Amino acid sequence: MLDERMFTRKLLESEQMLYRIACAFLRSEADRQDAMQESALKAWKNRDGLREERFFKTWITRIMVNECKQLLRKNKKTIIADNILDQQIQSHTELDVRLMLESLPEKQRVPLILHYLEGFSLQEISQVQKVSIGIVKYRMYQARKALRVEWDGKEELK
Amino acid sequence: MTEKELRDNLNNLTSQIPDETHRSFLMAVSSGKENVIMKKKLSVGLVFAILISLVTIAFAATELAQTFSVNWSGEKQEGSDLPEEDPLTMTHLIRRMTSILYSVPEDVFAIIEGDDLPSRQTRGITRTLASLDEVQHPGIRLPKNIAKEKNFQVELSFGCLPEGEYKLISEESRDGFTLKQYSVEPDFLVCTGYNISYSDEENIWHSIRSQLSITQNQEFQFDQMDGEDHMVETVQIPGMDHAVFISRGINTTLIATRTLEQPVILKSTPGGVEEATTTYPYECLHLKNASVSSHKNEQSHHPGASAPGFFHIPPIRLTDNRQGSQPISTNKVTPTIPATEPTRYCEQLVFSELFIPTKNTPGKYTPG
Repeated sequence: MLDERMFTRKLLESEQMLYRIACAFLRSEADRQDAMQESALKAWKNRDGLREERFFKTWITRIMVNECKQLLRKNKKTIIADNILDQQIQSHTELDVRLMLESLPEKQRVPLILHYLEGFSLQEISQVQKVSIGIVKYRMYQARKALRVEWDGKEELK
Repeated sequence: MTEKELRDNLNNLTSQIPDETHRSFLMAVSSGKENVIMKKKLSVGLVFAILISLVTIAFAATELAQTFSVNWSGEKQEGSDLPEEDPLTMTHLIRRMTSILYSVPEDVFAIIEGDDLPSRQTRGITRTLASLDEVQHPGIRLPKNIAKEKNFQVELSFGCLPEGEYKLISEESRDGFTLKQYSVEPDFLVCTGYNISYSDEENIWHSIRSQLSITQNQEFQFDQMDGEDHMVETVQIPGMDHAVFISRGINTTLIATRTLEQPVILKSTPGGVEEATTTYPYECLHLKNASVSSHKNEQSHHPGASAPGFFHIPPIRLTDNRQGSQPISTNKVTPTIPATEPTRYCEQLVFSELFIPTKNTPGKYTPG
């Protein structure tokens, strides 16, 4: 187990990565802020669950992804004005990409974001999602296929 | 959409961390760390508290188990007459024993016995009775075998423990103890409070010969034995019902014989051996048919008193063999005691100064 000093250092080093993942999942800055805070607190709380230092990246990513999923589920039940405002600010392309991502099931969206945004390898994604590499591959294939269909449809409309 | 386009689009979704989010993240990291440290401290404190509690409980349980594991002469706890007090506690045991002690007649030698007393309790009782011995109950005499674990005895005798025949007159179970009472047919008694040096020994023997009309050709039979903190020599005179004890030690030597009608009290002085005056405590004679006692206070003596009920010791003259049979100083001693006073003569006696009977001396009781 990492000592407190090393753990703090690792946590601060992963701040940017965590924020980017939060950005990919969440539209609202407030949600991202919440996700960042909760992830940090949960990381400290569950520090004993981290068996080895080399698993820190996937371990903290899993915490962040779970936190984002939880916030998304919560947000589905409520319509937040901030989200609408954010949508107005964002460009059409960004909004399209975000809408396409949100249309994907979570199981497909997570590997896609982690792989294409953060450069996670298939093995790392399999560790985050706690599934086999084959399943990760399949989910990514499904996600890419869905996005392609969606994207092509939009292009045709344009 | 190619993979590159997808990557670019995803990157476009992200941005630099706003300051507010950055600060909140830092706060969360530090506060999470503090929580962890606080929890760690709390858990360490909790562990200590639990450990201390466990140790305390274990100690109390051990004490309790030891107390209740005592099987005291088959007596059951629920059968006790004193339910408000644990009958197996040290205090209660001592109380029971001392109550028996007071019930024993003063002219009777008694032994209290108890079975299956744990050594811890035995030692405690020994210590307690030993302290009582010195302070309140000089009559309690503690034999060496009191520390036996499974069977202990406490001898009780008020005053001097007389040498002689001990006849069992009663044996009864009382308050969980076995009380054995003995009548005493004393041969003689030896106790005193004077110092005597080894150099005075010859003088003493000379005076003894004089007093007992022993000729020089009669042989003494010495029987040495170790007392508690001093040595006692017993002299048996063949063919005579006489015996002499000399107790060497810090405070020593009083001599008496059963058949001697006029007991002799000797003490050593810088000038030689002389008849004892009664200036200091512990002289005592206890004979079968006559009693002699002296009191602490010299003013209480009445020289020449010979009224009924008073015993008179005439003056004796001693000679010092080492100095050509020159007379040495003598003093008149006329200790008196009213005949009506109970024969509790020697309450002031310190029993470490007493003669300790052994198997080597005939007619003696050896406990245990």
